[in-house]
Amino acid sequence: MNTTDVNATVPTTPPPASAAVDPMSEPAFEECIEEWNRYHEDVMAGRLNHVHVPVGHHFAYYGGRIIDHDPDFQVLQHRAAAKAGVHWARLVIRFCGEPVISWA
Amino acid sequence: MPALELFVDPPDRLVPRDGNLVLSPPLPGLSRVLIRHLYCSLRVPPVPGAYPAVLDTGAPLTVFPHNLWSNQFKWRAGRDYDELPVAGIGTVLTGQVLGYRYSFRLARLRVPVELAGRDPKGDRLRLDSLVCQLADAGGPPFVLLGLWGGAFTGRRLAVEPQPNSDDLHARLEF
Repeated sequence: MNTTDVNATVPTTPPPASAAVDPMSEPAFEECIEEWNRYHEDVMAGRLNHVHVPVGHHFAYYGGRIIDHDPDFQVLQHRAAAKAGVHWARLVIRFCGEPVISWA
Repeated sequence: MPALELFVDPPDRLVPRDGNLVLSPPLPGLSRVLIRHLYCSLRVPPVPGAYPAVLDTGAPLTVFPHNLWSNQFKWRAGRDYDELPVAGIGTVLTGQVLGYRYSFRLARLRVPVELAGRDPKGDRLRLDSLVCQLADAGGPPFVLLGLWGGAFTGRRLAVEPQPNSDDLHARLEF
């Protein structure tokens, strides 16, 4: 079981604005892309901190913060969805690999 | 011309996090080096969700990680893909990309794969009969769109500086 330091991320991006959307419903592809755009904007603005995610783990993002991480994609998908209270397909899941550049 | 506007991000875990390596001292006309990669969203209807697909012309073929093609998409030989036996070798090969060394099956997909860019209502690129690597465990943990087999053939990858910035704007035209 992994623990996630929620303080390591700053949830500045609001979750999806439409109150009519049931977060537990299966999202359309367009909704998934919108969440990827939120993730991209948070990355580019320096609002996300992946330092607490171990190398070799996937991490799940939703609504402006990293929800959880795990080495197993499917385990993470379902655990993070339960934590966030959303359908698993609404999550942005990325892999945390070795840095492509590091200091010698 | 239809096109996908690509995500242009610094790779994860890069220090500094913005992916900009500031030079000290700077050279005339060059004060920083940007570390970026390009990706788009991929889906396999009717499976819900969007999955990142990194564009890598250095990869000879598109690669699907085992946890996606087998566990998430639940592709099965003869139904969702055809295995492609190589003369004198068979169907199980070994590949290496991005530091990952892995065994894989060479396959031609029977199911379509759809690519989308940043615009949720933008153009979509449908890939039929994609020839690709279906990696076993130990392969790259994300989809790589490689050079041959359907992802790049007949497309144009345009990478340009953003207006008033040295950051990049990228699109895949088709």
